[in-house]
Amino acid sequence: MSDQSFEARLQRMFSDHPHYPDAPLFAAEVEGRLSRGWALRRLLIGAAGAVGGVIAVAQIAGGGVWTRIGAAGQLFQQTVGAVSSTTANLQTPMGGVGQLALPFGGETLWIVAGLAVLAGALLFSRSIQEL
Amino acid sequence: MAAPATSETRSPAGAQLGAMHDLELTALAAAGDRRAFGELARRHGSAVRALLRRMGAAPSLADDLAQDAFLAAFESIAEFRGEGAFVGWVKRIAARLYIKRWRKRAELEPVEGEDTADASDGEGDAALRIDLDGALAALTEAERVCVSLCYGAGLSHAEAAAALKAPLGTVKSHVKRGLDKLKRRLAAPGAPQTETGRRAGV
Repeated sequence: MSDQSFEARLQRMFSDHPHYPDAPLFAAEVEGRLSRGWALRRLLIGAAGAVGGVIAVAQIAGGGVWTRIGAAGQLFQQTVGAVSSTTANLQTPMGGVGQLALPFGGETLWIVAGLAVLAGALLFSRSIQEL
Repeated sequence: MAAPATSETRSPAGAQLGAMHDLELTALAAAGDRRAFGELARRHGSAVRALLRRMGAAPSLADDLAQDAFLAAFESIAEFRGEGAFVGWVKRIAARLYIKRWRKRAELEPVEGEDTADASDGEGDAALRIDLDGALAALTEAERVCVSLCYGAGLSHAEAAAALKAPLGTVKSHVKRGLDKLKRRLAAPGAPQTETGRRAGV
């Protein structure tokens, strides 16, 4: 047998492989590992988004925005209070608006804003995954 | 890598995947379809596992490395251009993974002199029809790895030498000696064993 024909035969023999009975299980394990890896990646992306959101909130807080938001909240309270006292003085059916409109203070407002930023960050990270 | 993002719900049904060509499946996998890639693993898993076992890996290690090779292939599926067979591409990845491990515990020594120990058994067994797995078992570890890399994984001698981080001449010597032994052991019953055939190499 010539060298070349033997080498060709050897390549054919290497190509001719046994089919293992657990081939479906092997494929399932590969798919499983891919899925686990992908789930972990999504978790990491989400976590990165959340951390980014927290950092953004901290940066905004450090910039004195919350003080201004608090002041705006107080102004809002005063405005609503003034409106409610005016309407109460006018003896209209809207006399209780002032009490109903003040269930939160300035801190609540910025916490809500922070949560909104977090939600936005998560939404953003999810959008990147879908691209 | 570019994050694959196709959701499972957009993947074709299993029966459809089974009827698809490898190239179609790799295109789907490149878009992030893990089920399409699973079909590729189902089709070609045995070939990759068999190659690793023939290279000398224990069955459990061969299975682990084959899985690692498929995962690595999925990660870099965008690099697969379809110029060759998908299974050949994964085989080369798997072979390189095995070589990485193998090199940690073994060193490819230069070939010196004639391996008389093996030369004695080749002639006697020539009358028997021995399959490739059995014949490979008669090779030294280095010969087996070199021959499997070149004829099983389809690497050139230079690529094998680079993967093994060994001199090209050393790899060629191991391949030649391995081929000589295989030729003797795989010879058909009654086939004449000429000195030329016995000594032929790469």
